[in-house]
Amino acid sequence: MSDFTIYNNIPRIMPAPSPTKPPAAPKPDAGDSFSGLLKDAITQVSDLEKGSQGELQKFMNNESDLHSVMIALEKADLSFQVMMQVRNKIVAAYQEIMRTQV
Amino acid sequence: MNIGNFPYVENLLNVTSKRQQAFAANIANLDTPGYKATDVDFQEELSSSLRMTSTSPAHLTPPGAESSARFIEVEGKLKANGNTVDIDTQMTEMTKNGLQYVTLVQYLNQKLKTLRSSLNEGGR
Amino acid sequence: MSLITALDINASGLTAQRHRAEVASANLANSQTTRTPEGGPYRRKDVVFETVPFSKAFDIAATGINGVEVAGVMDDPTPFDRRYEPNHPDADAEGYVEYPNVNSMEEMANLLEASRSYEANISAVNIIKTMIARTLEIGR
Repeated sequence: MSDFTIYNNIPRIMPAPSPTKPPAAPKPDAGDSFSGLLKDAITQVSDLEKGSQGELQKFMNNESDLHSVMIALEKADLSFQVMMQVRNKIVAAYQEIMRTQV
Repeated sequence: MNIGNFPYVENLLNVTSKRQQAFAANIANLDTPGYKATDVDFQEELSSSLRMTSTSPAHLTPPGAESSARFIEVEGKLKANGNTVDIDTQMTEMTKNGLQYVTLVQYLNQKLKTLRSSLNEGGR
Repeated sequence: MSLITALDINASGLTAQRHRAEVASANLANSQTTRTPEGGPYRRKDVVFETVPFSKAFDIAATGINGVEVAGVMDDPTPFDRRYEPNHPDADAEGYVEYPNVNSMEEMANLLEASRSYEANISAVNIIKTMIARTLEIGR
């Protein structure tokens, strides 16, 4: 079902290197895909935040339904949670790397 | 990355809440002479919703869009004053509609709960 | 919003049925009134219901959604009830008194109908209230 997309997509997205990386300038792999992921998450959060504000505006103008507003709110909240999780993972990964004995 | 796409449920909620308007109108006009009972052609809306299998959220009805289902006149027994509203049928159908709505909300809440716990627990 | 509109529609139903009940009560109360300020006995009144649009029909084929309102209160044109009571103060030259054209049984039935329709609208309002309350709990 499509509402499990995020759940199903995470293993697909995470390990793959960023496809937009320019081949001429090799950069450390792990950091790039993580930061790309975080950027995506942040973009989505701000999009959904704006979306939920827009929904509220429409509701106040009587053009939209209450359930649409509630669902938009939930989506914004969920995407925020995802972003927090991604951030946590990045921080944890960074700390793990910093602990590596050289 | 795709966040909680609930297009099917949203469509159903749209249709169900729109249908409630039809019931409200029928109940309000129980005794209005010449009034014909109305409903939403939700079967059409439901089956078209089911047929939509899309990989991109852009293909589906944007959230918040007023359901495109239209109000239609329904068959009913004609009373002496030209009114076709049967109070008992309307009351039962309306109650069923309300039940359908809260069930949908319940379904939505369950999905959201699952998503949240997968976010919180799934990382471990 | 759909649900709030539905609430308004049922509210219009409540108002209309209340008017109907008021008029039926007035008829019942005045079923024996032989004297009115306009002269003559009390004439039975009736409410006329009419649909009032709450949504625009999108095209000719589509139906809109309508609430109800009382278009007006009209007089019942049926003739008065003439009874022979020569000793009545309002008796005319031939000893007949004109009584209101109100049938108490009919008015009672009318009142009960209005009450039933009123109850139906109340039930509708309650169902809508539940739906709205549950909607607000999405995600809780």
